[in-house]
Amino acid sequence: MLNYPISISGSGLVEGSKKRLFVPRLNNKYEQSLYEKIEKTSGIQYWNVDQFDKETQGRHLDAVSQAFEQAMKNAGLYRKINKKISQRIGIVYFNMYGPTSFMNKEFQVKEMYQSDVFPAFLLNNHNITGYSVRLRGERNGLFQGLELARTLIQSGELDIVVVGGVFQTYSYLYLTEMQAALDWQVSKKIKINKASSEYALHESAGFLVVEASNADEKRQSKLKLDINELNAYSALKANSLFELPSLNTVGQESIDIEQCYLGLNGRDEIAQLESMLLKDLYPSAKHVNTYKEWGDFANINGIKVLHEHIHNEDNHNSLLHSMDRDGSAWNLIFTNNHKK
Amino acid sequence: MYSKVVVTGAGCLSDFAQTSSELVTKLAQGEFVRFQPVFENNMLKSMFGFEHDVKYAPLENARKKLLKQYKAIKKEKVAALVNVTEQVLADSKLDTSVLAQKNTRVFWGSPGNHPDLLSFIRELHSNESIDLLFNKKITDLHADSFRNDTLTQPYAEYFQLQNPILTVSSACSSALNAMIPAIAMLQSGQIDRALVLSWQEVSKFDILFMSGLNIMAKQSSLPFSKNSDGLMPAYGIAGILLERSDNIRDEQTPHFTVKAMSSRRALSGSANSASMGVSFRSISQTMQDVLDKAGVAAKDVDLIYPHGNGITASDQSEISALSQLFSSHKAKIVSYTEQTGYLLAASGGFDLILAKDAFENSRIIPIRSKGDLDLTQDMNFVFKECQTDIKCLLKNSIGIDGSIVSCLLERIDHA
Repeated sequence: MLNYPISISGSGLVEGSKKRLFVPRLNNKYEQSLYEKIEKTSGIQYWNVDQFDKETQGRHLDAVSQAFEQAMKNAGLYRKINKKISQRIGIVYFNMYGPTSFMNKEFQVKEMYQSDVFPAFLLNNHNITGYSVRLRGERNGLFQGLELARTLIQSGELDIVVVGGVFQTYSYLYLTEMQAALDWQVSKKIKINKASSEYALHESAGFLVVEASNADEKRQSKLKLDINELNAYSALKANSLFELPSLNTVGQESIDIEQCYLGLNGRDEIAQLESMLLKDLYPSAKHVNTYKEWGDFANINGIKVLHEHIHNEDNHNSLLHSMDRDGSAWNLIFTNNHKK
Repeated sequence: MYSKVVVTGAGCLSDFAQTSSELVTKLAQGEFVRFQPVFENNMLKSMFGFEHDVKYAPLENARKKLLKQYKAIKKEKVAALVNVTEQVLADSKLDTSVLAQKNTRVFWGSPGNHPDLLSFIRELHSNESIDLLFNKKITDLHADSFRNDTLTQPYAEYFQLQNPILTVSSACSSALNAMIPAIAMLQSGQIDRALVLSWQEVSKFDILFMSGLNIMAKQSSLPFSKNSDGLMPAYGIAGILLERSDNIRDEQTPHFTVKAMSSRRALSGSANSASMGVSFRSISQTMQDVLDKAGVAAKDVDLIYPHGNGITASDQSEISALSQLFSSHKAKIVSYTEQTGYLLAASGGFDLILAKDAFENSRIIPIRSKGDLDLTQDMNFVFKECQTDIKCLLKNSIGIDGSIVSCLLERIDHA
């Protein structure tokens, strides 16, 4: 195995554009009781949900398809792959909650297959036949996916891995998700702040094209985001999140980080804690709370950050930090390195 | 030069067998798993739209027993995974504390956590107070019943894991596909040990999905028989410990290495349709790939464990592929799916436990069936137990998502 660096050479993101203010259905007592319970604990009364617009964007699988096409085109891969069957390309796909197709009233077996097993149309459309799997990583899905991509590329199993997935909103799930997140937060000794009565959720689909840093030189893609560091650390032993040891970026103090992206967890209190811990390591870095900047894209939050970043001209080092209830936290340090 | 990766321990849990040695013994004795109806009564059956009885082996009793054994663990699924983990580490003569080391990682080949539809399907789209009064299980309609970390987190906490668990799924080839990143991380020196657990709970969602695809058996599941009318699923957990050969200890004598693996996706030929069928060409290409990677000729393969799920079209494809590559060679073929039940994502993991027995004891436990295995004609299937030295063993796994994985195992000569 060669330990060469990897890069992101393309990205695609489709965001839900149908704005909706969620109110619990009158004929649904369970939904109403959940809403009331969460309101009491979190102070949230207004759930602003941007869903996929069925008329203009299609259903969630159409959004998956569009985001994937966009990423492939950005990476300059679209035509090349269509010419021949490629066993050197694979897909790592994730959603937020595993099988959920049965939550839709009009679900069909074909949708169950594409949505809950694997969106095989992505493979068929691009003649991709390499190692492809579905990943279960929730809010840390992107980081696990990038680590898997790096492992597959560096071992020689694949040349290119397209990492990404979809986030769909279901009232039962985002209400109870918030409750569980707050319970976890309290168990880790972080007080709940009820200051905001609004919460913004965005349905979205996003993909990143990952390959070895020197692999795309002959293609037309001008985009490149170098992955300088990707590591996970365990937060299991910490009874309080305040005890986390400097976010475990040991050895990375020498890298001049200019921007830190935080808040992928969706809770402001956690973002503040992340900010506090990172301040010691990178005192001059600008901290961006992704929830405040864009709202909550759940498992697509990280892709949103990288997608926004890859399309700007800044060439500084940035850090993306993620902490989820699975007991793991991740650091990703990246730099724009566009071709001139 | 890549280091060799060896299997140093194994363990399992299913309705058929609750340890590796029980699995081997029961297969050798010719026993079959007992299936039970998925729906306890006709009302439930009709609620899900079924006209016929469907059966499965759900591991219900064992899971409840394990909850008593592991009192600190509140979830049945986690208790079962912990039990298999302890079996694997005991088999490899290691203390479970090695899992808390930074150089060890855990991989799950599994679709992961998902809820039991039966708990809330009737109340999913509308409900009144009176409905909720009668259905206390409506609270299962909660993010925690869907999120995978409600299982990974207590498991990680129990063993104090230092690294996150990587859960990958490719339907019924998940066990072997989870081994691919595990082996890559071992060979790179990133880790020294990889515990690969493969498992799939047979939920009402799975039953509904498989019935929608018309692959659940109505009468009998007879892999490699034209009389088979589908598969009969079983909830099983299989675990293996992978280590680099340069890292093993004196007390261990692994008998085989994972020589090569090959994974691919079969295309359906249409951009808009699902890859529900896998062509024999894709299967034979995958097997040829793994032989090429290993530098082994088809004539040198001694034993093959096919996937054999009981879906006639899939079994026929696999037989055609095996016939294309191996019909003129000595390779023997054997399958145990009918006896154990179809173990879905864990099926490849269970076969690796049997491979361990085959290498260690130089024997092949024969295939047994309650039907006529007419698809096995002209192929070298083993119907009587035999003692034979196995040098190369090939294992195939096929997923309904179009995934195919082949794995080539090679004997280690300790002399």
